[in-house]
Amino acid sequence: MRFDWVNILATVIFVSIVVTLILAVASYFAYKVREARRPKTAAELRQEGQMKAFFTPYQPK
Amino acid sequence: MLQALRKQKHLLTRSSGSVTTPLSLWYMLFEGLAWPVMNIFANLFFVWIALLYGMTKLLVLWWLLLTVLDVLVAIHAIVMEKEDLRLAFYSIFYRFFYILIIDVTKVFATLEELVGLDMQWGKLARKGRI
Repeated sequence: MRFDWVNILATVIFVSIVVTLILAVASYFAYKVREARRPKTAAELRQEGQMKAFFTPYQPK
Repeated sequence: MLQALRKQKHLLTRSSGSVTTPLSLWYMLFEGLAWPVMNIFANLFFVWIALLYGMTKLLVLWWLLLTVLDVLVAIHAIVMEKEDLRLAFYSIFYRFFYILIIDVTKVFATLEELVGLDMQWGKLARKGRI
């Protein structure tokens, strides 16, 4: 059985280009969505008059 | 790169002093704006031709030519740096996936910069106190 290597390689290149383009666009928008959902930083919270506490202060009863 | 270009655009046409700075900026302009668009266009052109005329031998040879160039440049860099020659194998994946992903990201970032969306480095703000 004789393989048509040119056709196989062309198909591999074609599929890889299409898949890479789709993944690249999708990952960029996924990054944008993640950035929009990220928790606020301590500096941003401070501007809103809130505090970002890393430790819960001890409150004696 | 785009932010640096916008900040230093007056140096693009500077006629006095060293030629290195304007040359670097023009190179950055090409690398940041022209090259990513050209690469994405070339890949889309490949897909378009393949869809219109089928998988021809010429398409494969054109792609192989670019890949051979990438491998040669990688080998040149590896030899210059006295690194492991097996690293040149990764340049095939560079042409397959990596550079296309990077170029798509560059084009989107360029569009955001042109639209004027706020971009930052995500650095921690330093207050200068303990």
